[in-house]
Amino acid sequence: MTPRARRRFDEHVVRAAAATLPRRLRDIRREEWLADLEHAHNLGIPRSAVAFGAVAAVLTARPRTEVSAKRALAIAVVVATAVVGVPVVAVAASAIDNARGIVTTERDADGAEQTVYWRDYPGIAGLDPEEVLAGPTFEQGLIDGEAMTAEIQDALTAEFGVDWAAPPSDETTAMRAENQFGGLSLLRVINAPGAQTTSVPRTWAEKERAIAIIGEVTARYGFGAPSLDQDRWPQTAEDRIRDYGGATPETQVLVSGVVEGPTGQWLFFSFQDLAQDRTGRFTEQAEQSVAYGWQPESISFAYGANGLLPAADRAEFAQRMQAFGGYPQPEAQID
Amino acid sequence: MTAPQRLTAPTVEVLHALLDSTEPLWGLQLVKLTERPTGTVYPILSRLEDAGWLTADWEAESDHPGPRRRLYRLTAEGSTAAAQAIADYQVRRAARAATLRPSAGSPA
Repeated sequence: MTPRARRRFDEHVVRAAAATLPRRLRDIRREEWLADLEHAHNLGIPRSAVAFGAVAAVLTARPRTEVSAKRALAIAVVVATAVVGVPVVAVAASAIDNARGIVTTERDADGAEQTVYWRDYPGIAGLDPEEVLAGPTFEQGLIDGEAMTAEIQDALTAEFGVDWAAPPSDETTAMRAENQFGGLSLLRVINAPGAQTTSVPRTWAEKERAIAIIGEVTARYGFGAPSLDQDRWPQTAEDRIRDYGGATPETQVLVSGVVEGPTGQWLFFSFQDLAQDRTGRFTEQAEQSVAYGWQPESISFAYGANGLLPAADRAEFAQRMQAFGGYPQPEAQID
Repeated sequence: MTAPQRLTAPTVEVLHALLDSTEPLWGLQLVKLTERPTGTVYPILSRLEDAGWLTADWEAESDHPGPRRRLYRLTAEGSTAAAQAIADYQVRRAARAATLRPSAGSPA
């Protein structure tokens, strides 16, 4: 790659990573990271460290909802695509002013007109408040996530004799979730650091067994059955080859999926098997990501939650929710 | 202002760097000073900013052409909280080290 192409590549990566961030951060981080690229040489930091650091920051900080898990994969694909010089499609970001959030006019039970400021909604669009109150607390989620991670590690070690490497980040991210109406909810997003092995089972039968083991553990915490991303978002064979490196699980470099749990909890899992990489595209990307703590080949998984309520916020949640009782929710502002 | 969820070693290092500096610092400077990866430092900055410990301003556009750097500094409350948090962290770490150390006279 020429130096000029390399510069363009780094900028593409930064722009692509920033485009996946929540709207309130997107423009800020894009400009900030582009400035970092411009000035990295002054600090003796390689531009590539900034570019891949942006990807790592997104993967670390972003709530890994089922949508964003797909986006995480898309980022990896964008990076891999950019490495081989294919132009990255620009992601258009809408510039909606979120200052007021969504405001609607409703009629209350007495027929009087009420202005409803959805920015103050204490939950998250589409997440049933009753389910939130009935589900695990934020504190319990942290405990369960840690326990599940340890149990899965033990079970996979017992079955496959795998070794474990430290994850790229050792921090559990826990932050206020956006309510998707232009404000912050009282719920907390959790992104646990997860775990990664230093090797990967080679056959699909073994990978299926590993997925079953993950499912057995998560079922004990009330989670549903594991599902593969390619089954959740069906694609053409050509697109599967582009995104996963193969048209079938038996031939894919990347196999990923999720197990959904109660109240927006999830466990994301993936297998990266470079023995299936017939073009070298995934291998090249994996080699770059080693510097950021990722194993080139691994079983990896991570627990997270889209919005759990801290025990101390239950009363406020119920009280604030009353202002929205019975009104139809407007369309959510989904990134 | 709220407390960040969990104070970890990288977060303490970021707070240290900000406390030690008389000037606002941009993100990549903090990466350099803490020797932590960009992917670790920026999520920390987001959390500290959300918690009200940090504030950030864009550098003046006339400073140089191209994208602007974003300069971070601790708020007044954040400075106080950061100093206290670092002290607490060091006490906890010392206590943990003491409990892990074999007591005098214990068998080797």
